[in-house]
Amino acid sequence: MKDFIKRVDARWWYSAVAVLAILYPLIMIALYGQKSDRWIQVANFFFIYALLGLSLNIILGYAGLFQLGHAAFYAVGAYTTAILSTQFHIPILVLLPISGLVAMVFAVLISRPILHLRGDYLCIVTIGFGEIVRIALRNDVKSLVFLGKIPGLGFLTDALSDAVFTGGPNGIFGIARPGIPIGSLAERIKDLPILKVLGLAVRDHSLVLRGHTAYFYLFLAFVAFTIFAMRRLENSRLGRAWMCIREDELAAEAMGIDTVRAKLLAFAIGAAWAGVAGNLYASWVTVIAPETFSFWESCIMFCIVVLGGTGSIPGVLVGTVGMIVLPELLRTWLANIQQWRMLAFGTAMIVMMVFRPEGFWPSRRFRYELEAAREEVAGAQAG
Amino acid sequence: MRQRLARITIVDLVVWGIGLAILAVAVWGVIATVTARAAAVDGYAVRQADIAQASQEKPVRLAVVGALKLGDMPDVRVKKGVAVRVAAGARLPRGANVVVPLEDTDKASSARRGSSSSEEVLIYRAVPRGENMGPIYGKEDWISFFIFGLAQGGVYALIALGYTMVYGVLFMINFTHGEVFMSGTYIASYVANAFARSGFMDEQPIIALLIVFAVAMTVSTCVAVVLERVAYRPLRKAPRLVPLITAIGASFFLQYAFARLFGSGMKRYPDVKALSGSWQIGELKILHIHVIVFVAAVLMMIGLYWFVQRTKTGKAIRAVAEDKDVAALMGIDVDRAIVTTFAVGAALAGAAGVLFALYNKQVTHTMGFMPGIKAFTAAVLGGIGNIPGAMFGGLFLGIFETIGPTLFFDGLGVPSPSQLKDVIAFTMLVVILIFRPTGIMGEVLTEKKA
Repeated sequence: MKDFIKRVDARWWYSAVAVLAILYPLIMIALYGQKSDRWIQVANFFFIYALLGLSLNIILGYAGLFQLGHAAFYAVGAYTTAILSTQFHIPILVLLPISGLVAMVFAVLISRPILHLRGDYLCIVTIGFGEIVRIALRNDVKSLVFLGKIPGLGFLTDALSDAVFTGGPNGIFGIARPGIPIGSLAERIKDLPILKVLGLAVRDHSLVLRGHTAYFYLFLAFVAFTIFAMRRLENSRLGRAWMCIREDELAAEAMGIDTVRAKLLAFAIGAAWAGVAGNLYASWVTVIAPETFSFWESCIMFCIVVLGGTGSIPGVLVGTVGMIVLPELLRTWLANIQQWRMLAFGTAMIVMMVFRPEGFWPSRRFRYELEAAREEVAGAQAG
Repeated sequence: MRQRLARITIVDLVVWGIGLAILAVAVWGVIATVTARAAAVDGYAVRQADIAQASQEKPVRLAVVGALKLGDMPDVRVKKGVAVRVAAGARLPRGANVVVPLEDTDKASSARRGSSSSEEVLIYRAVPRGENMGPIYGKEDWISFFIFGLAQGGVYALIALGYTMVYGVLFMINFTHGEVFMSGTYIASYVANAFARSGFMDEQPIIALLIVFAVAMTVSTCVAVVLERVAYRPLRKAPRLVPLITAIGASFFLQYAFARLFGSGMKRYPDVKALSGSWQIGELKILHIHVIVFVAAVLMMIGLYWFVQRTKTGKAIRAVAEDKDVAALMGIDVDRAIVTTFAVGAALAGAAGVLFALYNKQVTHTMGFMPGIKAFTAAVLGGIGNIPGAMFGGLFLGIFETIGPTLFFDGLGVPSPSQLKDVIAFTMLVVILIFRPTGIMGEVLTEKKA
């Protein structure tokens, strides 16, 4: 079997996966008919978390920075989209880069002062930031009314006490869906039946994404692009610098790597990607609330990266299947004992880590590191 | 020097700017809270200069520009010739330096008929400056905040000890500690409720509570020992990320196991009659329960300190924390020392859980998260791995968290500042880690962590 996998050119495998992915909604519709929506929805969740996992993989997997507050960047992206979309009616697709950018600036500002922290300390601060963001979102801007007391800013008092910015604990609803203006073409294709199958609709001369299927293709495109970009990044000068830092920060610095810059870039790029994921998520579900971005969300992203295999792109995808798709499947198959699924899930995480600490599909480099560490320990014990 | 300056980038400047802005807001908030004054009686807030000439025969006439109730944030300013109607306890507007009681005033209709600001007031007495007004939060308020903070802090400190001891021995964050805390409390709540129903709790409160404590501590200890055996011991040689994942997995497991077994709703914790009630010292009201929680926490901390410093097992734990290999050479059973560390930390967490439930009066399967993460903050604050540090950090965090929201945010007019106590706790965590990552009483861990 292994020989067979190796003998066939990798490109064939990629093509097969690509074709399968593109046909997935159609297969599901063929298999399940009306019920297919749920399976496409699961796939969409898979994509969102794959994006988040890949973005965290830059920070945690490549640069080796323990980041347990990734939901904060995700939240910043999603809320940027939600606020600008509902208050200023800016099209979602325009907001896509803006959300990424805002999340990136935010990440640079909060990560700059904590870059000197290592390991667990960094981990704890990022948890703190994640919680601060969530609580801030829940309290809305009303907590900022005091700004109105600064001389000259008196107008803020009324504006802030009545303002609905993040919507408090209820969050924001009515986020627009992404649309592409197609001008006069709209009239001509308006009644095509294929639109309905794909979950598209024509409105005001633009093609609007409505159903899960349409989002499926949007997300698929993004994930594909992200994987491509990550592979390029992994082998770039910057990517190698990150891995160097992960393995030995002192040595990396001695080799002339600007570690502060490299780490800052890891946070910036990772956060930007999480912000984009937030934008896609917000436009898909159209309702977001602070509790969507809780600490558990960060934990899930963390587990996706580590369970799959730290620093490995296929690992992240496998991890996403494990953390997102598997519980959904369990929900279906074990319908009677639904509550037990999270239990089984927690157990599986422990068992997995005890017996295969390098993750399902580790990057070759990480596996070497692990082996080296083990040999060192074994050597120390023997000698 | 020049080189260091050259390395400062725009990002650094912006970060510093934000930091200074936060600091400025904090200072401003404290000043605003401390200097804010409230009316002691119903009346009118005015400037003393305006009413200096007032007398029974020649009253002073002032325009009333607003009215403030209890809890209102003043949005008017008392200027020359102007008064603001205030209720007793209401926050005074700026500019006012005296409150004229209602009985020394009289409502007067405006002389200028037809104008919109028709309400005016006649003042019959030259009340001396500063009369009938006091600080919004008196000494008693701050003391009662402080006492509640001590109780809260005692609980945090007990939980933090578990984190810090495990970290000291294994250099690992035991993320499941919050769930260990929860599980003992949860099971003990059934015992406590049974005692309360049967009346045993009221007849023999001391024995009943001791049993409840024993149950909570035993359950927590068992959970922690099993956890160590199953989820942590096999991974002692693995990279540091790996036990973090098993800890998260175990947290999932425990939370959902409890939700599954006992339902996901909130459970009431019984009222213990012997512990309710309060002491009244002048204006100050001290709840028994807060004092008892604090004293119990301190006693347990002293016990732990004695255990670690004086007993043989404690010595073994310290030796293992210092250097596992050398400790093993000296004939110390390292595995046993580690299990003991987990067990002792868990027992303290179980006891902390009962104390926590005694004044919070409820338990849920998710109750472990917030105290857990706060206790971790406390452990970091005191310097993780350092036992007195965790005690100090816990108490400090508890006090800071109860006083902080009011102290920083109340004067700024933030609505319901106590909702922001978590923000204060986490901000403090971040600030401490930025400036002093090894904590206030931290040991030098960098070489050990390698």
